[in-house]
Amino acid sequence: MKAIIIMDSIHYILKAEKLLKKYGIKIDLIPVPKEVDSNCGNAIEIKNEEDLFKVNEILKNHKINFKVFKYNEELNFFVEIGG
Amino acid sequence: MNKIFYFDNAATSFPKPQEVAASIYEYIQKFAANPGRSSHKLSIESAKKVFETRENLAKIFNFENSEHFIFTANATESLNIVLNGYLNENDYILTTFLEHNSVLRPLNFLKKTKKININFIEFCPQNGIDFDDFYEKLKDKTPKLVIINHASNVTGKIVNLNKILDLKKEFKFKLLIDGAQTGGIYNYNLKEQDIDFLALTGHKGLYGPQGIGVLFIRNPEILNPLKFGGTGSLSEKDIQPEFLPDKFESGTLNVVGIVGLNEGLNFIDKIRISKIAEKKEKLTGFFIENLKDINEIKIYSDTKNNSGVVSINIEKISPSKISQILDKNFNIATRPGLHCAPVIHKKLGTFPYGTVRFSFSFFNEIDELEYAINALNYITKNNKN
Repeated sequence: MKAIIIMDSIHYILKAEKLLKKYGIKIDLIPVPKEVDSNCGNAIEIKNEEDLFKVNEILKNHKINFKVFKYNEELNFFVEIGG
Repeated sequence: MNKIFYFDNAATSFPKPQEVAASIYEYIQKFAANPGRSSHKLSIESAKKVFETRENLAKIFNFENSEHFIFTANATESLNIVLNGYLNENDYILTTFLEHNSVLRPLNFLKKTKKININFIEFCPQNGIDFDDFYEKLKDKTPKLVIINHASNVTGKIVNLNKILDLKKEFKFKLLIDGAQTGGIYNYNLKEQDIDFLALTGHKGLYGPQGIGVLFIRNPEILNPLKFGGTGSLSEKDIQPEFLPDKFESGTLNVVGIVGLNEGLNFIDKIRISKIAEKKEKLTGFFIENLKDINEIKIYSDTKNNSGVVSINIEKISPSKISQILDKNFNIATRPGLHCAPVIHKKLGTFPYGTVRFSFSFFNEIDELEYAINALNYITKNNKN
């Protein structure tokens, strides 16, 4: 697990899932990792880190609020990198 | 039980498409977990059903973002959310004589508690409302909100929405449309039609089960919620979220109703709203055509812009008596009385006894109407009063 995105509620998680799949981005719905404070308990895992730029663009174009976290191996922790 | 000839679809549509019942049974049997409250598989499956239904609403009512469709219990709750959450002390509002008690009662309560000022657009049998009077009243004073019943549940008359929207462009008022009778019958295009609030129910023209309603909200920032509470989001905060749909959806949703509604929506999407409207027009036309030569019958509906409702009376027999004979002797289900819309009956001259209402659905057929016409003929000829 390299990068995850979280949102305000399950509605936006499912909306993002539908959109990202439509654009061919490999994702998975996962329970939010314990280090990340998620509002709705669910997160989207981005399978390929190189898709992050595209993900960012798609979600912003559709006015979906989100936060991106990346796993930092040195810290053994998820770090917020934007949204 | 012998066949029931069901003509009470303006109260609730019956029968429902087979898929409605099947989907509810499957949901309860297989994955009826709480949506948006957990992250286990069943909760996500349940949330997906809610999401899918919302997306279906956005598709059918043609609006890009599905979160603007809020699930409620019924059209009454949807209307109450807007009236209570948008109107303030001394506000001036304009409404019509077509309104149902779901609008009239909250308005009269707000008249007492918030001293709102209510004015009525004149009634006109041909168009539902008198557009000249509407124009004059708008020129006099701009209302904070205009509330219009898109189709009368008494006469079936559908009011010309695009004409209302032209006036909205000119006078810049906010508009609440009561679509209880028109959802699934009139083809809304919310991308093009600037309706601020659209109140819908799931169990009539949308062919879902009872207990599920919808409210479309264009600008959520101008409206306060009616209910506050748990949403499964922002749980660390003890104030209501501002984002949609959570702002207006506190407490566990009626997912059983939502799942059924989704299949109702799939049904109308498959048949197409234009085809449903066409069939209702055919049924209404046939019924009115065949009743109008019976001298003893007075018809309060016409075939032009009709949602599939025909109100009648028979000379010297009360509406409740007619409806009772139809039910008892002919297995015909109709609704007598005032239909929770007392003020239009005053305009029609049918207050306080009302009319007998026949209301059709896509599932009604001409031969059923022929049977009803024969029954009415029989009652008329054999009336000893």
